[in-house]
Amino acid sequence: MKALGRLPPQEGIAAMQTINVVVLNGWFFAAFFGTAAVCIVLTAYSVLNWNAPGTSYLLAASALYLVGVILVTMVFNVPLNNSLAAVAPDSAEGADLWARYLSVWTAWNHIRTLTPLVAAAAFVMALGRA
Amino acid sequence: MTNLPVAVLTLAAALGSGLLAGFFFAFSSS
Repeated sequence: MKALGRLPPQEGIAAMQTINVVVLNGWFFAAFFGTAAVCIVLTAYSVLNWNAPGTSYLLAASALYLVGVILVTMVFNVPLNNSLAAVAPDSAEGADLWARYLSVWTAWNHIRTLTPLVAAAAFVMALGRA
Repeated sequence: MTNLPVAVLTLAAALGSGLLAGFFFAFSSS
């Protein structure tokens, strides 16, 4: 986002609007929701088999992914993306939104970068158990 | 992990989580 933030607002907005359209493809959805589906299954397994080895890691990792990636994206990033999609890149309203988008959207993006990284480490820890 | 299906799912979740972390990192870092 630093690179887009260095562009004039209308160019940064137009670039991000395009990115937000192009990114919605089958590969992204498969990774994003496919991992979520697996996390739901692993959560159920962990709860139902709490004494099995590694289930505390599985539960923590699944919760981290579901909250830190899915919930954060749906509650914070997507609404900002929708707001950005609705503005004209060369408008004053667009420039105001862009300033907020750059700070707020990026802050939540940091969260959804860190949480799946920690989740991946916890999944590996679970694999190492037993 | 003694349960092979769970181990496979765990590996898939680790790969998926890592992949998305890398994807979102691109936006955070550049």
